[in-house]
Amino acid sequence: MSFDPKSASYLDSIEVVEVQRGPKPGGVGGAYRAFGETLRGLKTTMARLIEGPMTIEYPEEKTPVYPRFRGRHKLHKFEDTGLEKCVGCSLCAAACPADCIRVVAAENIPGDRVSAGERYAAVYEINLSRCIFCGYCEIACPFDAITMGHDYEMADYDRRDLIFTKEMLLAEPVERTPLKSEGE
Amino acid sequence: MTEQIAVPFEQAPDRDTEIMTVNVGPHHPATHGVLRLVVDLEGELVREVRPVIGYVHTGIEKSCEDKSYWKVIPFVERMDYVSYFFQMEAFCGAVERLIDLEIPPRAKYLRTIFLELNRIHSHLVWLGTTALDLGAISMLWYCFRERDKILDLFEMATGQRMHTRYFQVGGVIEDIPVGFEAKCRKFAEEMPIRVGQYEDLLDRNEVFLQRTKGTGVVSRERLLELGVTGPLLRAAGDPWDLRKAFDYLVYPELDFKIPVGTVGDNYDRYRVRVAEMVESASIVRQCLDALPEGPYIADDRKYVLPPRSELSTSMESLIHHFKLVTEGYRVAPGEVYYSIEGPRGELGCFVLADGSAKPARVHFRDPSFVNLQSFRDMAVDGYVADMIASLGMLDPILGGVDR
Amino acid sequence: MSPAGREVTITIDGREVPAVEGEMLHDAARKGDVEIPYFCYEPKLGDPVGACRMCLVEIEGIPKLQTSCSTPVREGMVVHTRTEQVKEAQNSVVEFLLVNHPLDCPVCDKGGECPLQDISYGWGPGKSRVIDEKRHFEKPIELSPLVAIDRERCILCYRCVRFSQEVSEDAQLQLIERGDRTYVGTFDDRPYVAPFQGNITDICPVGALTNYTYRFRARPWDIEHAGSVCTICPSQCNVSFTVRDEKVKRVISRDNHEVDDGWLCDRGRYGFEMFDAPERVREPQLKGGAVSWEQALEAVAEGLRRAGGKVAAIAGDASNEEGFLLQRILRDALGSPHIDSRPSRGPKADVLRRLAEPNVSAKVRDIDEADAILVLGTDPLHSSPILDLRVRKAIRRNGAKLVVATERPTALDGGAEAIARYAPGQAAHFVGELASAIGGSDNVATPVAETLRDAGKVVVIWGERIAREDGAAEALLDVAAATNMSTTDGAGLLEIPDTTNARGLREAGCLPDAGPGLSDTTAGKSTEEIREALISGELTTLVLFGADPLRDFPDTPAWEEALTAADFVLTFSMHDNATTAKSDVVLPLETHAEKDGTVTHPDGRLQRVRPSASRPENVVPNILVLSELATKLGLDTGIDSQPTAFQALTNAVTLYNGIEDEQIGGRGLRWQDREGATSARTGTEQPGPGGPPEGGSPDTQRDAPISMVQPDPTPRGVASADPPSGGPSTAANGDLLLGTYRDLWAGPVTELNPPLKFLTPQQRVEISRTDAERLDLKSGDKVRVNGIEAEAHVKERVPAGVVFMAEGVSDGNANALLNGGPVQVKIEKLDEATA
Repeated sequence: MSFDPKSASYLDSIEVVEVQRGPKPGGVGGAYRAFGETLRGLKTTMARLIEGPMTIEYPEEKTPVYPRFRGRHKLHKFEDTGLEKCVGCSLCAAACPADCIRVVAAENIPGDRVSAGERYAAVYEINLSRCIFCGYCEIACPFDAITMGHDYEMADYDRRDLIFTKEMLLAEPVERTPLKSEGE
Repeated sequence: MTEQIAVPFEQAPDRDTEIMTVNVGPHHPATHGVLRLVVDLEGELVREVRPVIGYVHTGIEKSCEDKSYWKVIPFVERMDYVSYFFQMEAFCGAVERLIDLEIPPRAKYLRTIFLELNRIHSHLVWLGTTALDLGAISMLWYCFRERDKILDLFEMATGQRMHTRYFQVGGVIEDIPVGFEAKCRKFAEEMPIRVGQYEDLLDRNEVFLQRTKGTGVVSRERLLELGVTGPLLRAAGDPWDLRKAFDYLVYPELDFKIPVGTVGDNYDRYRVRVAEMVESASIVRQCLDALPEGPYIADDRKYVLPPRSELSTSMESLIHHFKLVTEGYRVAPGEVYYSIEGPRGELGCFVLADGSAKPARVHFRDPSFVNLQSFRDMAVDGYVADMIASLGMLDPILGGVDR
Repeated sequence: MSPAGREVTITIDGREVPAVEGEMLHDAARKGDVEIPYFCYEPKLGDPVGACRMCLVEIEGIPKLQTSCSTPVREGMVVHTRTEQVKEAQNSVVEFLLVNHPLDCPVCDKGGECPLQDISYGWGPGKSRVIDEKRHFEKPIELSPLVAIDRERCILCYRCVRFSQEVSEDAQLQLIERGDRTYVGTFDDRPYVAPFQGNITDICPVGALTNYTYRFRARPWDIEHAGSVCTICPSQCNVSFTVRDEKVKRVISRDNHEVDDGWLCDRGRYGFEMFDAPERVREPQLKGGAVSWEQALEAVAEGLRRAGGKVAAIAGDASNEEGFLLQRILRDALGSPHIDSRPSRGPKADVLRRLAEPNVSAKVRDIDEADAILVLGTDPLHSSPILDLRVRKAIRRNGAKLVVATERPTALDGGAEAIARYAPGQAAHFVGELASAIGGSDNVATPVAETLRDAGKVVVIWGERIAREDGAAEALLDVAAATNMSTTDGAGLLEIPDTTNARGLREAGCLPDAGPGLSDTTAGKSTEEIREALISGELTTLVLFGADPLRDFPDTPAWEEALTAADFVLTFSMHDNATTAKSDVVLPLETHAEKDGTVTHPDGRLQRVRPSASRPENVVPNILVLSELATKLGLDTGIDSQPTAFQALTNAVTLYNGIEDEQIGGRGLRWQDREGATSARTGTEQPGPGGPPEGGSPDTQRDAPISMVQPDPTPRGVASADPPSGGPSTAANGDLLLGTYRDLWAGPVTELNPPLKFLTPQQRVEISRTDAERLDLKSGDKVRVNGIEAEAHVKERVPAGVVFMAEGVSDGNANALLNGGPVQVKIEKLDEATA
């Protein structure tokens, strides 16, 4: 599979192109370039004017994200029954490489069901200051109960406030992050 | 090498100047991370430089020993935080070789596309910041403009702009979305034009020429002695590129050139990298043209997560999903070293498996770390200003150096 | 199946593997490091059944695949475990099992530690072919209040049924129906109630049987396993605590063949929830009010100093180190020799030394290989449950002959070759008769003795309570001599003491007439003498370490009086109880999940109790409390941790000299098994066989094989003014003789434990049919027995003339009726109205 870099076969198999050296600095050419090349560079710069701005006025205007963007987690409920999709199986906690999810399960009481299955998550906490947003929890979840939402504004003044509880994760975000359409 | 600017110690103009030791960094914009340089100066001449590393040591390699193979992927990405796809490829490829898992063709092409986009991205970060060090502030904006486009592509396909965990053992985690191909192709076609603009700004800029030409020269032989690889070695004239030397992913099927320098100074390094960006854009175009249909991840249920749609219908799939997610697959005892051409040189991953679901050892041969050893040769007996230029052109990523 | 097969060599997957002829191929493969998947095979459960078909292998010369678990090894066998044929069979078996398995992994408690998952992942196909509807059962339902059964998940491996049929022998679990509708259940869906039912959750290879106490509490990746020893009863089973967030969530067996054979009783398994009971003592209390440790220790030191030597201590639930420290405080700091660790009377030190002789002690594993087993004066099911399983195993697998000689019918009676019943208070007499009967005399014990005579390896499992009677322990030594125990390997005496660490505490020096290592020392008062001395004022101060006299010790009224009379009572207690209510200072005791120390198994095995869970905030390691107390009393023990305490213990106790913590390890170390273990006794002389005692009573064998030993008209050393005599069963005045027993479930372990609360025993009077008819009683009638109200329970096997009542129950504790001698009780039937 590999072969000797010095061998003829390696050198034959590749196409090598030597880069240009450019002019020698200094001297008369240097004096010319100090002005000429700078002006040519400025021309390049000026030409960019027609391209319009690349920046946006954050935070007034928010960067839209793609549908696949992995932001703050969300827990979901069934739309018809209002029951939580999460059954507290802890697979997300097992999958989490940063160990930032804590799940304590409990048994559903008939008549006062929290989730659809036998068990539900009595405690569901994500420590967002540890989270690396890899989305493994979302992949691990067999019930699509946890997904990575699109919120990316999660800064806070206190680390303790970054431990998101089940209620916080179930709540709809106040301000929806704008979404880019596919292909935009 | 007539262009070399270096003043040997014995030829120094005023020998009675005192040696002064100056500390550069660890928090210094020009060190591109937290690198500390203890520099012995004689006037403006560098007589000795001792890089001190370890300020961003994260213990990732050790942490990997405590994680299942699946969970190691997001970890290794975070070593050299500019070339995350390469580290994923190095690790996933190593594990795939350990467990003898062939990845489907589409996955190979997709991986190649993302690797080359990442290479462009890495070179853009290098070019922007290094040019900034040399006084060309506007380069940063231009480079980061294109970088942002690449990050947009990453976000679109993988959901994250950096540290995407897109590569998985067996392929990639999900197929590219609708519209990605067109957007990516547009970028790949636009990129050479953009590179042309960078060249317009820098190639013949007198200040840039003054700062780079003849500075930081290290001979090819010395670089080989030090184990330096990547653009640094190619800039010294050695056409060594693992993409050509080793057979991995779809590189053997692609048509691309290896830019090499002649002198091995900072200007050659600049030129080689810029030329590589153009080549990479060409590789991306070729891959998009040849991108085959088919599965994006291998169909081996013992190592690859079953499709989500089966989780609610198939007991086998649910059990395999559960075991893979919680405990992870076990890898038979063995060891492998798999290296690829990273943006900074040979990026190798060594994995030692002991039969358990966690690697017994994960080690990365990070090119930044090895390349940094040549820094002394570049800087000693040169001016302190050239030392900064050399460090920029060396392109170390301290996250990768310290790991 | 004989283990004494010859060595053979077989070839598995091209590798030569040594094996013993006749052993199962699966075992040979496992020893040879070849993994063969299985669900149903479990050597602990006895003979293999080959139910799951998972362990199929290819054997050259046999056209069809064979189950490796039930194929005996033969010389030159060539086995393949990885061929295509085997692989296909394994795939098919797993696929077949999964056809009806519900998609429950995310909600199933077994998920992550499930053999079905592991084997499906390791050996099964990755993809399903089945799209049909799965079989459905109602789920989950209560198999018992402790175990939930989910029949959809069951793969019909038979393990639980085999446990019920062949290990605990309660025969309650059965497979019912046929084909894919087969399910595990009990007759008429009655709850499965048995003292070992928790084991079926351990052996279930799927999530069909799960513990209610562990339901949804944690996942394998949330928990840590902490190996320790259960100290709820003298069995000292090795357990592994499942700990999450520093709290015990589950207790599972930690297989130690030398101690528990991999089983665990429900008391040990579910008893952990009493650790967090509201009644738990969580901080030092002074006169009922919580105080700081400084204040409490100051008050204790003051109280003990004031006693001026008129202080006594009784240790109950304590580790060796704690017992050692306690006796040092008593003897060296307070100058008082009055320390005991027994609830009542016991043999003198010289007898204890003879009983501790290595050559007459049996170890637990000797039961497995014994030729004859005598269960004497104890019902292992109640006093050391795991030995009950051990004895059953010896009978079932090894054909051991069992002889039971007790007051009260035992759970083991069914498997006994001969049974003798002696009247309460007649144990010493009976054992004496037994010794002479084995020697050849013809007396009441002859039917029992015949089984033991020349039986070979005889193991005597005897209850400590028989030794409350004078002369019983000596007579026991005569039995030992008569059966040649000291010269027979694998024979010996195995005591079941009344308290968990009785042997360790005795050897640590918590005896009135023996110091550490059963050494000679100034004689002090024993438990009962301490009680009397407190009442008389001879002693003024009492230290109770893990002892609850008002529940556990005989003669409750006297103890109440003693505790009231005492000037100062210091109690170390885990929970608030009647005794702590009468104490001046109460200090919290650690649970066995929190404690760090060693205990000594009744067979002499030192075992390490390791701290596994976090203590409540104000509970301090008891070793430190005791050493701090010693310092305050002017005694520098040099002990500031478990290792230093253990060092001090092994230095002081000759039997333990030189034992290192590493030697104890996870499996324990019998001090007798050490190289050069010295006996406690100096000037050893073999006890001669006891001569036939005088005045043997006429044998009135009632019904073979049960020999009913009538009370001796001249009981030896029993202070009974009015021995029952006359008629075959009942005293002339109609009074009945009271026998007591400690119920397995009596005590805080059920009362303070929500999951086990339903098992809390109520006082009931077990009465023979004869007496019941005479008194016009039927089961369920309310009766009053010498002031205690209870429920009558007519039992066929109870001898006439005797009633049995339970000790340690919260209402109507039979200990209140005991007074040190035979007790006659009068039974009054209560009307429904008055009841």
